[in-house]
Amino acid sequence: MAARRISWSAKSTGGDVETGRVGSDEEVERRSHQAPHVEGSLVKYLLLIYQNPAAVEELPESEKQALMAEADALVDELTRAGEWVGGEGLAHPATAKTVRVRDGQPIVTDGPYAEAKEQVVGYCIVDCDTMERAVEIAARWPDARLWGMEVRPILSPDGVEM
Amino acid sequence: MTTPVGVEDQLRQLAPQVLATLVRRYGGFDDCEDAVQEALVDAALQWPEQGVPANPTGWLIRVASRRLVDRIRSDEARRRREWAVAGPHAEPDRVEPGADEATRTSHDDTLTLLFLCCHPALTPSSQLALTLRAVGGLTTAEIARAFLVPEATMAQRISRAKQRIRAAGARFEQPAPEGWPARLRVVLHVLYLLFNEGYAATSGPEAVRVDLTAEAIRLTRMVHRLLPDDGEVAGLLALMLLTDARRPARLTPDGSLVPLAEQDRSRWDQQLIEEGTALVRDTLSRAPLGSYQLQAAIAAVHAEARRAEDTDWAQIAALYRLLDRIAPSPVVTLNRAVAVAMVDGPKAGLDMLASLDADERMAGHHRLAAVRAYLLELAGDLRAAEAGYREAARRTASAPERRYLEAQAARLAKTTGEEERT
Repeated sequence: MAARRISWSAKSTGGDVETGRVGSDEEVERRSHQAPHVEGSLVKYLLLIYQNPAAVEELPESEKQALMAEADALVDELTRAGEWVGGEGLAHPATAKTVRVRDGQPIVTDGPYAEAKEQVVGYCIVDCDTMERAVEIAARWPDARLWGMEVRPILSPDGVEM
Repeated sequence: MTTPVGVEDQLRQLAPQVLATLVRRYGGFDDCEDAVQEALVDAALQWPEQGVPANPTGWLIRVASRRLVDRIRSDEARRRREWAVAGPHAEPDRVEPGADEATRTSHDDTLTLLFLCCHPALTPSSQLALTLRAVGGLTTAEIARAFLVPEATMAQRISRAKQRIRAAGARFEQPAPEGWPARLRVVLHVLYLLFNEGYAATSGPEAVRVDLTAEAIRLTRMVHRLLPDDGEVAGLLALMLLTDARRPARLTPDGSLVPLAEQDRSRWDQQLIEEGTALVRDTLSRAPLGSYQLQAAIAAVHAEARRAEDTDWAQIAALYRLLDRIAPSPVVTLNRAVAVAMVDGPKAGLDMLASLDADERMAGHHRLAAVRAYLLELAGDLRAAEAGYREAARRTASAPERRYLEAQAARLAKTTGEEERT
């Protein structure tokens, strides 16, 4: 066993470490590889779109149209970039049913799960390189200005042992 | 797929050469790449039935050229533009590789293609996708499945990547000498990411997903053949082989992750270990030191230990210290802390981790929490370790990693619970 030992670091301690080569021209690398890649780097993100439906109803029609057009344009842009995986708008929260099973019996109530002024009104899934990029996309969604967006990494079936 | 594996492999080996020839003759990487894809599909359908042509490269170039002409004709405006460039060479039916062309293209042109696909104007995900298609010869559908995204998303990503390359004014030539090392580093990083993507996959690579690990190794072998004296290329290849060797032992039959220390080492692939070890040993003895070589050397030291407890941690710690010096990164510090803990005790490792809390690239990362939990457990602070594993489990975006970390936390909770009862 010991006879087979390999002395990997014997040469390396000799001072021939080429720091210049490794450290030079970092710019190219930094521009295209900003995130520290620990392992599988391509994560999908769920962007939940929140709105206050009551406030939306108060908006003038032209403004609603403008918001929708803005979102459409963004979807278009993300599609062309190859980052758009999918997404849909949801019908009004008034149409939601919440389902709970208690003692084996389903209990169905009208309305969304969480009672709040702001509700999920749509979602999109994007596949991008970093959480920063996902946040950047969310920040450009018009609803982010008026209400809010929630960015959630989607759990991947892949993983690396420790 | 009814296509025999032999034909598929052959096609994918020829793909970069055919593409390079087309780009060289007609210009317009974008359209040429599409045309080659179509020719590959034609071949995959025809060759198994009609037999492989006597000159497969010539066949592919001829068919791809015809496809290219079809594409160009379908767009009047484009036709005028590109035809002017293509000029008198554009007689696809007479196109065959010249006597010296086949050898020349298969060498330099493959590398030129890699440089183009790993252009710094592209995001990493686009570089990966384009490399797999243009150099790897994979279909968009295969690449999409490998990355678990819809085919339409991947098609857009590839098409955007090609647009970007055009917009960046990139030419089909190797980078100028002063930019060459940095550009090669990007190529190697893309291959490294490709390997990692494949290695992390936990679901049926043969059945549904292309084995990106094998593909990364194949492409890196190719680069190694082209640049045999580059120590980092050899180092990266060695790192991949030595890591891939562990694959048979990294998952339980139900898909759970097995940590390095608990893997059944008799299942490690000895052939890959021997090849990787020889490669890194050879390159360390003659090439300037680099980070892939050091990582490969670390992997080789792990591979050398028959049992986890035989691991030469002093050696590994020394290698990490070097790595930290020539290519410092929070990930290196993280791994180094484990090695230091194994040599000087958990306290020394934990002290090293403290510096990472202030590093915004690593603070809040599940790996930091997981390593800290592991060292806390070694130090005997089981409550803090349990909390650390839980924190790590909350932070990871990987389902199997979360399961593993939760299991660690549960194991410690049971131990501390029993201690309290006694």
